[in-house]
Amino acid sequence: MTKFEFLQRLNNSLMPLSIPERGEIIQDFEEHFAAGLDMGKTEQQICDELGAPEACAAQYLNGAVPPQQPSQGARPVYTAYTGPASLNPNNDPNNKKNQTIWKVLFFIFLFGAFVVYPTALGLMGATIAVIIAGILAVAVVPTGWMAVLMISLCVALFTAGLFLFLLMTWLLKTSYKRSGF
Amino acid sequence: MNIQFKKGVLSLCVLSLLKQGDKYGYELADTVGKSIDISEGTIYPLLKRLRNEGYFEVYLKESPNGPARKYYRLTQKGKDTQALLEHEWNEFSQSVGEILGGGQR
Repeated sequence: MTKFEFLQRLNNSLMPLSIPERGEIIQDFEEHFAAGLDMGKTEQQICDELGAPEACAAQYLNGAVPPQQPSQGARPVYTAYTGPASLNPNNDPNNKKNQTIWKVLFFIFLFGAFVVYPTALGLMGATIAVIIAGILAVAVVPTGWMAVLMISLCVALFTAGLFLFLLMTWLLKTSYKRSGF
Repeated sequence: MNIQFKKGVLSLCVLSLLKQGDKYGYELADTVGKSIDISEGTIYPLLKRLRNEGYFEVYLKESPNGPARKYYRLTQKGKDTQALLEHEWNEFSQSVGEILGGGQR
Protein backbone atom coordinates (compact mmCIF):
# COMPACT_ATOMS: atom_id res chain seq x y z
CA MET A 1 0.00 0.00 0.00
CA THR A 2 1.26 3.47 -0.74
CA LYS A 3 1.20 6.37 1.69
CA PHE A 4 -1.42 8.07 -0.44
CA GLU A 5 -3.64 5.00 -0.43
CA PHE A 6 -3.28 4.61 3.31
CA LEU A 7 -4.19 8.22 4.00
CA GLN A 8 -7.07 8.09 1.55
CA ARG A 9 -8.57 5.00 3.18
CA LEU A 10 -7.99 6.54 6.59
CA ASN A 11 -9.75 9.73 5.54
CA ASN A 12 -12.71 7.78 4.15
CA SER A 13 -13.07 5.80 7.34
CA LEU A 14 -13.01 8.99 9.40
CA MET A 15 -15.92 10.61 7.57
CA PRO A 16 -18.21 10.78 10.61
CA LEU A 17 -15.80 13.22 12.22
CA SER A 18 -15.72 16.95 11.64
CA ILE A 19 -13.33 18.31 9.04
CA PRO A 20 -10.95 19.98 11.53
CA GLU A 21 -10.72 16.81 13.61
CA ARG A 22 -10.18 14.65 10.57
CA GLY A 23 -7.50 17.02 9.31
CA GLU A 24 -5.62 16.85 12.57
CA ILE A 25 -5.63 13.06 12.56
CA ILE A 26 -4.45 12.84 8.96
CA GLN A 27 -1.70 15.29 9.79
CA ASP A 28 -0.50 13.06 12.64
CA PHE A 29 -0.16 10.18 10.21
CA GLU A 30 1.49 12.35 7.56
CA GLU A 31 4.10 13.33 10.12
CA HIS A 32 4.56 9.66 10.95
CA PHE A 33 5.20 8.84 7.31
CA ALA A 34 7.57 11.78 6.95
CA ALA A 35 9.59 10.68 9.97
CA GLY A 36 9.60 7.05 8.87
CA LEU A 37 10.73 7.88 5.35
CA ASP A 38 13.43 10.04 6.90
CA MET A 39 14.64 6.98 8.78
CA GLY A 40 14.99 5.17 5.51
CA LYS A 41 11.86 3.05 5.64
CA THR A 42 9.70 2.46 2.59
CA GLU A 43 6.06 3.51 2.40
CA GLN A 44 5.06 -0.14 2.33
CA GLN A 45 7.05 -0.85 5.48
CA ILE A 46 5.44 2.04 7.30
CA CYS A 47 1.97 0.92 6.21
CA ASP A 48 2.69 -2.58 7.52
CA GLU A 49 3.79 -1.17 10.87
CA LEU A 50 0.75 1.07 11.17
CA GLY A 51 -1.76 -1.67 10.49
CA ALA A 52 -4.96 -1.35 8.50
CA PRO A 53 -6.16 2.26 8.11
CA GLU A 54 -9.72 1.17 8.89
CA ALA A 55 -8.57 -0.31 12.19
CA CYS A 56 -6.77 2.92 13.08
CA ALA A 57 -9.85 4.94 12.19
CA ALA A 58 -12.12 2.71 14.26
CA GLN A 59 -10.33 3.72 17.42
CA TYR A 60 -11.11 7.36 16.84
CA LEU A 61 -14.77 6.57 16.20
CA ASN A 62 -15.74 4.12 18.89
CA GLY A 63 -15.93 6.77 21.57
CA ALA A 64 -12.45 5.96 22.74
CA VAL A 65 -11.42 9.54 22.02
CA PRO A 66 -13.60 12.04 23.91
CA PRO A 67 -13.91 15.59 22.57
CA GLN A 68 -11.52 18.24 23.77
CA GLN A 69 -12.48 19.82 27.06
CA PRO A 70 -14.15 23.23 26.63
CA SER A 71 -11.55 24.80 28.92
CA GLN A 72 -8.94 24.23 26.23
CA GLY A 73 -10.84 26.67 24.06
CA ALA A 74 -12.10 24.17 21.48
CA ARG A 75 -15.69 23.55 20.52
CA PRO A 76 -17.12 20.08 21.08
CA VAL A 77 -16.65 18.04 17.94
CA TYR A 78 -19.96 16.23 17.98
CA THR A 79 -22.56 17.57 15.58
CA ALA A 80 -26.08 16.25 15.20
CA TYR A 81 -25.46 15.06 11.66
CA THR A 82 -22.96 12.23 11.60
CA GLY A 83 -22.98 11.24 7.94
CA PRO A 84 -20.51 12.30 5.26
CA ALA A 85 -20.09 16.06 5.05
CA SER A 86 -20.81 16.05 1.34
CA LEU A 87 -24.23 14.49 1.91
CA ASN A 88 -25.35 16.78 4.73
CA PRO A 89 -28.57 18.44 3.46
CA ASN A 90 -27.80 21.54 5.49
CA ASN A 91 -24.69 22.05 3.35
CA ASP A 92 -26.54 21.72 0.07
CA PRO A 93 -27.02 25.17 -1.50
CA ASN A 94 -29.94 23.88 -3.59
CA ASN A 95 -31.61 22.71 -0.46
CA LYS A 96 -31.22 26.13 1.13
CA LYS A 97 -33.04 27.60 -1.87
CA ASN A 98 -35.83 25.04 -1.53
CA GLN A 99 -36.11 25.81 2.14
CA THR A 100 -36.58 29.49 1.36
CA ILE A 101 -39.30 28.72 -1.15
CA TRP A 102 -41.12 26.59 1.38
CA LYS A 103 -40.73 29.31 3.98
CA VAL A 104 -42.47 31.77 1.65
CA LEU A 105 -45.18 29.25 0.84
CA PHE A 106 -45.71 28.64 4.52
CA PHE A 107 -46.46 32.29 5.18
CA ILE A 108 -48.76 32.48 2.15
CA PHE A 109 -50.64 29.47 3.46
CA LEU A 110 -50.75 31.01 6.89
CA PHE A 111 -52.50 34.10 5.53
CA GLY A 112 -54.70 31.93 3.36
CA ALA A 113 -55.67 29.98 6.43
CA PHE A 114 -57.40 33.05 7.83
CA VAL A 115 -59.81 32.84 4.93
CA VAL A 116 -59.96 29.12 4.32
CA TYR A 117 -60.52 27.91 7.86
CA PRO A 118 -63.51 30.14 8.59
CA THR A 119 -64.97 29.20 5.20
CA ALA A 120 -64.44 25.50 5.78
CA LEU A 121 -65.85 25.62 9.30
CA GLY A 122 -68.69 27.78 8.06
CA LEU A 123 -69.57 25.29 5.36
CA MET A 124 -69.49 22.38 7.76
CA GLY A 125 -71.33 24.26 10.44
CA ALA A 126 -73.97 25.62 8.12
CA THR A 127 -74.80 22.29 6.60
CA ILE A 128 -75.12 20.70 10.01
CA ALA A 129 -77.30 23.58 11.09
CA VAL A 130 -79.55 23.15 8.07
CA ILE A 131 -79.88 19.42 8.69
CA ILE A 132 -80.70 19.94 12.35
CA ALA A 133 -83.17 22.69 11.50
CA GLY A 134 -84.76 20.43 8.96
CA ILE A 135 -85.08 17.60 11.43
CA LEU A 136 -86.59 19.87 14.08
CA ALA A 137 -89.03 21.58 11.76
CA VAL A 138 -90.33 18.31 10.40
CA ALA A 139 -93.02 19.99 8.41
CA VAL A 140 -90.47 21.85 6.30
CA VAL A 141 -88.58 18.74 5.22
CA PRO A 142 -89.37 18.27 1.57
CA THR A 143 -90.03 14.81 0.28
CA GLY A 144 -89.10 12.94 -2.81
CA TRP A 145 -86.49 14.23 -5.15
CA MET A 146 -86.30 17.55 -3.32
CA ALA A 147 -85.23 15.71 -0.22
CA VAL A 148 -82.61 13.77 -2.05
CA LEU A 149 -81.34 16.98 -3.63
CA MET A 150 -81.16 18.83 -0.35
CA ILE A 151 -79.45 16.00 1.46
CA SER A 152 -76.94 15.57 -1.35
CA LEU A 153 -76.24 19.29 -1.31
CA CYS A 154 -75.68 19.27 2.42
CA VAL A 155 -73.38 16.29 2.26
CA ALA A 156 -71.44 17.84 -0.60
CA LEU A 157 -71.03 21.16 1.15
CA PHE A 158 -70.01 19.48 4.36
CA THR A 159 -67.47 17.34 2.57
CA ALA A 160 -66.12 20.38 0.76
CA GLY A 161 -65.70 22.19 4.04
CA LEU A 162 -63.98 19.21 5.61
CA PHE A 163 -61.75 18.81 2.61
CA LEU A 164 -60.74 22.47 2.69
CA PHE A 165 -59.97 22.16 6.39
CA LEU A 166 -57.78 19.08 5.93
CA LEU A 167 -56.06 20.47 2.85
CA MET A 168 -55.17 23.73 4.59
CA THR A 169 -53.81 21.85 7.57
CA TRP A 170 -51.71 19.59 5.39
CA LEU A 171 -50.34 22.52 3.38
CA LEU A 172 -49.37 24.36 6.53
CA LYS A 173 -47.73 21.31 8.06
CA THR A 174 -45.77 20.39 4.95
CA SER A 175 -44.50 23.87 4.21
CA TYR A 176 -43.53 24.29 7.86
CA LYS A 177 -41.54 21.08 7.85
CA ARG A 178 -39.86 21.70 4.51
CA SER A 179 -38.88 25.20 5.56
CA GLY A 180 -36.42 23.72 7.96
CA PHE A 181 -37.79 25.70 10.89
CA MET B 1 1.10 -12.21 22.97
CA ASN B 2 -2.20 -11.56 24.68
CA ILE B 3 -3.79 -8.44 23.18
CA GLN B 4 -5.46 -7.51 26.46
CA PHE B 5 -2.12 -7.31 28.25
CA LYS B 6 -0.82 -5.00 25.55
CA LYS B 7 -3.83 -2.70 25.54
CA GLY B 8 -3.80 -2.42 29.29
CA VAL B 9 -0.26 -1.13 29.49
CA LEU B 10 -0.23 1.20 26.51
CA SER B 11 -1.04 4.31 28.51
CA LEU B 12 1.58 3.41 31.09
CA CYS B 13 4.20 2.90 28.37
CA VAL B 14 3.44 6.16 26.61
CA LEU B 15 3.40 8.17 29.82
CA SER B 16 6.62 6.55 31.00
CA LEU B 17 8.41 7.24 27.74
CA LEU B 18 7.41 10.87 27.95
CA LYS B 19 8.64 11.02 31.53
CA GLN B 20 12.10 10.41 30.10
CA GLY B 21 11.71 13.45 27.89
CA ASP B 22 9.45 15.14 25.34
CA LYS B 23 9.00 13.07 22.22
CA TYR B 24 7.32 13.41 18.87
CA GLY B 25 4.65 11.05 17.56
CA TYR B 26 6.84 8.81 15.46
CA GLU B 27 9.29 8.19 18.30
CA LEU B 28 6.49 7.09 20.59
CA ALA B 29 4.80 4.91 17.99
CA ASP B 30 8.04 3.32 16.91
CA THR B 31 9.37 2.59 20.39
CA VAL B 32 6.14 1.25 21.83
CA GLY B 33 5.20 -0.61 18.68
CA LYS B 34 8.51 -2.43 18.58
CA SER B 35 8.58 -3.32 22.27
CA ILE B 36 5.07 -4.59 22.63
CA ASP B 37 4.49 -5.69 19.04
CA ILE B 38 1.31 -3.71 18.52
CA SER B 39 0.10 -1.89 15.39
CA GLU B 40 1.73 1.52 15.52
CA GLY B 41 -1.47 3.05 14.16
CA THR B 42 -3.19 2.39 17.48
CA ILE B 43 -0.79 4.69 19.31
CA TYR B 44 -2.08 7.86 17.68
CA PRO B 45 -5.72 7.53 18.81
CA LEU B 46 -4.38 6.93 22.31
CA LEU B 47 -2.15 10.02 22.10
CA LYS B 48 -5.12 12.08 20.98
CA ARG B 49 -7.29 10.80 23.80
CA LEU B 50 -4.68 11.37 26.48
CA ARG B 51 -4.06 14.84 25.14
CA ASN B 52 -7.78 15.68 25.12
CA GLU B 53 -7.98 14.45 28.69
CA GLY B 54 -5.14 16.72 29.74
CA TYR B 55 -2.23 14.38 30.32
CA PHE B 56 -0.02 16.02 27.67
CA GLU B 57 0.58 19.33 26.04
CA VAL B 58 1.73 19.52 22.45
CA TYR B 59 4.05 21.97 20.77
CA LEU B 60 5.71 22.24 17.40
CA LYS B 61 9.46 22.05 16.93
CA GLU B 62 11.45 22.29 13.76
CA SER B 63 12.83 19.02 12.48
CA PRO B 64 16.30 18.75 10.90
CA ASN B 65 15.01 18.17 7.39
CA GLY B 66 11.34 18.69 6.86
CA PRO B 67 8.26 20.34 8.36
CA ALA B 68 7.86 21.08 12.06
CA ARG B 69 6.98 18.10 14.22
CA LYS B 70 4.39 17.81 16.95
CA TYR B 71 6.07 17.11 20.28
CA TYR B 72 4.30 15.75 23.35
CA ARG B 73 5.09 16.90 26.88
CA LEU B 74 3.65 15.58 30.12
CA THR B 75 1.49 17.92 32.15
CA GLN B 76 1.48 17.75 35.92
CA LYS B 77 -1.60 15.56 35.67
CA GLY B 78 0.33 13.33 33.27
CA LYS B 79 3.28 13.06 35.63
CA ASP B 80 1.07 12.22 38.58
CA THR B 81 -0.82 9.63 36.61
CA GLN B 82 2.39 8.08 35.31
CA ALA B 83 3.66 7.65 38.86
CA LEU B 84 0.36 6.15 39.93
CA LEU B 85 0.17 3.72 37.02
CA GLU B 86 3.79 2.68 37.46
CA HIS B 87 3.13 1.96 41.10
CA GLU B 88 0.01 -0.04 40.28
CA TRP B 89 1.87 -1.97 37.60
CA ASN B 90 4.67 -2.91 39.97
CA GLU B 91 2.26 -4.08 42.62
CA PHE B 92 0.21 -5.96 40.08
CA SER B 93 3.09 -7.73 38.37
CA GLN B 94 4.53 -8.61 41.75
CA SER B 95 1.25 -10.17 42.87
CA VAL B 96 0.90 -12.11 39.63
CA GLY B 97 4.51 -13.19 39.94
CA GLU B 98 3.81 -14.60 43.37
CA ILE B 99 0.89 -16.61 42.08
CA LEU B 100 2.92 -17.96 39.20
CA GLY B 101 6.02 -18.58 41.26
CA GLY B 102 4.49 -21.03 43.64
CA GLY B 103 1.71 -19.35 45.54
CA GLN B 104 -0.33 -22.52 45.01
CA ARG B 105 -2.14 -23.74 48.07
